[in-house]
Formats: sequence, structure tokens, C-alpha cells
Amino acid sequence: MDDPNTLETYDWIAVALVYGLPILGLIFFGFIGAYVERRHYAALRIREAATARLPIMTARTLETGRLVADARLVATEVMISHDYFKRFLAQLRNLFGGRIRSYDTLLDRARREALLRLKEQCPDASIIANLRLETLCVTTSRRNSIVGVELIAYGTAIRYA
Amino acid sequence: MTPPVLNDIVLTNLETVPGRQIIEHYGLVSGSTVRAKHVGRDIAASLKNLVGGELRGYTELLQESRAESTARMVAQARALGANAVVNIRYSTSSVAQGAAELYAYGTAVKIA
Amino acid sequence: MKYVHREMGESAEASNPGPAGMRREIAFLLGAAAVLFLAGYFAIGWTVELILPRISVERERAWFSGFSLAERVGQPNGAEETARFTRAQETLTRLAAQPGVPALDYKLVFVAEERPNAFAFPGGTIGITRGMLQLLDDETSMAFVLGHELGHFAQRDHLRGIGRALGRAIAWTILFGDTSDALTKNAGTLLDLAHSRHQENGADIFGLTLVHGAFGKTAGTDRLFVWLEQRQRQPAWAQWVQTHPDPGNRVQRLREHAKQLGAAK
Repeated sequence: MDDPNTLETYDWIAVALVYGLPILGLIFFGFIGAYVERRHYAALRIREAATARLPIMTARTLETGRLVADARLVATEVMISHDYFKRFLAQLRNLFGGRIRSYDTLLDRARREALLRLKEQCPDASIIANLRLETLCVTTSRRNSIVGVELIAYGTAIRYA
Repeated sequence: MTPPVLNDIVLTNLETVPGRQIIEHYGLVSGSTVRAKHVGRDIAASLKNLVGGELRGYTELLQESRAESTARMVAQARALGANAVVNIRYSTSSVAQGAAELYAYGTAVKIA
Repeated sequence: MKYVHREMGESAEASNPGPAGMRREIAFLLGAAAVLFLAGYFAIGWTVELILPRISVERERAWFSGFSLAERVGQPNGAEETARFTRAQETLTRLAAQPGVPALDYKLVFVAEERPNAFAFPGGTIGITRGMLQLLDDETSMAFVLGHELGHFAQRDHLRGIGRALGRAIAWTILFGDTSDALTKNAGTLLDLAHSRHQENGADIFGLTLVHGAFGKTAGTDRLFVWLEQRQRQPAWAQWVQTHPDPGNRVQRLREHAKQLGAAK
């Protein structure tokens, strides 16, 4: 049996904040995140087309008979984070199990970005051999949601004479 | 493309240095750094966590860590009298709450 | 081995779910989560209802006899307020003696707040604010408010609230460990408000019956609500999120019930 005048404004603001803000946040950041991702992919595709001629391989065997002019280590790293909505989806996945599809693109982007940077480090190389990747998941202090992934990619850039 | 980096010591993650011959090897050399990876505390990173995208600050931190680990490894190799480090590998792992280690290791050799 | 350049085309992104895959993922996860939460909510409610009858009034008395409101309790100021408070205490004793009221140790405590309000606490403590004392100057309205709170005790509403909160906390810890995602934590509260409205209606009826039984008249009780109703016009949708039903509807229901009681007499 509260005083109705005070009840209305105060209670409505409280309700709107408690329920509305997280939901709005999820939707808002979900859309922004999707946009950022699309833009990144567009840029990735362009850069990949530009460096398509430089191959990367995991094998260590080089072409027999060809003389090697230079060989050096190249390494890059990248750390990419995901948006609030995708993290929320991953938390729901933790309940039901199965493939966490919302994180597929996160790792894909990180890998492709790292490999592109590797190629861009040695544009005049003939081939990058013995590619290795190291991934580390960065989580929040509560260890329940993955904040981002860091990826280190390294190989040997070979230039044939 | 300039050949060897880091002051005349050749670095590669192949087992040999292509075009050169390994005369002797001196065993394992390594370098490591531990850095804080508590992303949640950084305000700029927290904003990026909401919309996604690259966390440039942390990428740079990673870069420095890697350069540092590699430098430590090379210092060990130099102390052994080697002029190349082959079969280099990097490894990252979470060592404690909020900390990650970057470990670089390879074999120190003398090449002709 | 010689390198030959080939294009992979679309399969370069074979590991990604693609826009269609993401839509399906979102639909499945949100749908399944909604089902899970609703099922959990009803399971908790059902369990609480099952356990409640097994907690006898004596046991409730034993558990909550030491309950005290030290930080909120005050003392009435001045002769007038003290007199009203004492009258309210007498009314409470009179109502508590009526049949149908559970045998708890009822005591009235004074709460120094300006907003008119009344609370029912586990163990039989009823709190009444300064604002409420000032608002109700005749015995029948005061009796109705006290009777309404006694109705909550009769319905074991406070125990229900505690049981549900406990059930929710347990379910949460089982499912999530200790994540605190603000969104999902508050999801149960909205549904609880609806439950409260049902409880409030029941308490209203009980209060009215008590007053009728103790004083033999119910005419004064709806004066309070008419007064509240006149003070402001609440849109119908506001009712949904408040714990207390819209005074307009309440007045209507009470009038009908009073008529029934009057006719039965």
C-alpha cells in the first residue's frame, strides 16, 4: 500500500534499467559487432587477394635443386576480441553443449589476420615454410567467458635465388 | 630481403639453415617472458570487448613479449658461441590467474 | 616439391557458420534457454508449494522467534502518534484472536518512514510506518490493513518468498557456477511480481473477512482505496510490474466481497 505517486516514476525507472539495459546492450553491441566483423572480413579478402601469390606451407621440405638466397624467421601476433552478444551466446552454449558457432568466426579472423601479417612482413619471399600457430584463450577473472584469443604465427621465409 | 636479424645470428624455425651447413650444435636455448593478460581491467580493452575487433594494445604487448623472449634466447645462444638458432618454437600458456607466459626455444648451432 | 598456385574459392570459409548458420544458432539458443528458465521457474514454484504444508506453524514459530528488525524500528513521536500506535496494537490483538489466524507470536513494530506502508515479517512481526498511522484514522481501516498482513501469514507468503529465493540461488549455482550475468539473474523477479499480486488479492479477502468477523462492519475499509485511487490515475499496464494491484480494481473486488459478507450475515 505505497503512496502511488512516488511509486510510479521510481519503480518504472528501476524496472526499465534492470531489464531493459542488459537486453538493449546485447542487441546494440550485437549489431555493432556484426558490422565490425563484416568490415574486417572485407578487408581480409582484399589483402588475401593481394598476397595470394606468396604461399605458406607447414612442410619443411624445400624444392630440391633450387638455391636459397635468404632464409629468416618471421613471426607475428594478433589478439582479437568478440562482442558482448556473441559471448552471451557462448555462455548459453555452455548449458546445452555442442559446437559454439559464435566463436568460429573469432578464431578464423585471428588466424587469417596473423597469416596475412606474416606475408606482409616479407613481401619479396618465395615461400614461407614450417608454419606453426600458437593459440591462447584469454578469459575474464571469473573464467566463464572468453574475452578474446591471442594467436602467434611463425615460420621461415625463404627466398630462392 | 635482408638475411639474418638480431645482430648476425641467423634465426629460423627449419631444422637447417637453407644454403648453409651446420658444423656443430650446442643444445637447447630458450627465453621466456610472463605478462599480465588481465584484459578485463583495461578500460579501452573492455570497450572493445563489447563490440569486438582487434585489441591493439594487447597485440603490441604480445609483440614486445615475443621480441623480449627471442632476445633472451639469442643472448643465451651468443653466450654459447653459436651463430645461428634453428628449429625455433614458440609456446604460450596461462600460468596463473591473469598471467600468460611466452616461451621461445630452439637449438643453438654453428653454421659454416 | 614444386609449388603450383590454385584457388580454393568458397571452401576457404568452410569452418564458419555463415549468416544462415548464425541465425539458426541464435534461434536455437534463445529458444532453448527460454524453455529452460520457464521450466526451472515452475519446478521451483512447485517444489516450494509441496514443501510448504509440511512446515507447521509451531516449527515456523521456533525458527523465527529470534527475528528482529532492530535497524528499522523506531519509536512513535508525541502523544497523538503514540496513542494511535497503541490503538493499532489493541486492534491487532483483537484480530489475531479470530479463527483462521495462525498461532504465531504477533507483535507490532513502528517503522519511522513517511510513505504509508505495512510489512509482514517471518515469525509474526508486523511493521507499520508513520505514514500509514497518519493515513488511517479510524479503527476499521487500520483493522483492514492489519488483517491484510495477517492474511499473508495465513497464506504463508513470506515462507514462499524465502523458499523461492533459495531455490533460485541453488538452481543458479548448479547451472552457472558463479557467473553473474545481470540479465539472466533478474529474469525470475518479473514472474515473481505476478505471483505477489495473487497473494495480495488473497490477503485482501482474508483481511476483509477478519474485519467483518471482529467488528461486524466493512464500510470503512474501501475508503482507503478510493482515496488512493483519487490521488492519481494509473494506466492499466503499470499494474503488471507493481507488487500491489491497481487500487481501482482492488476497490471493485473488495466492494463485491463486502457485499457477499453483508448478505451472508
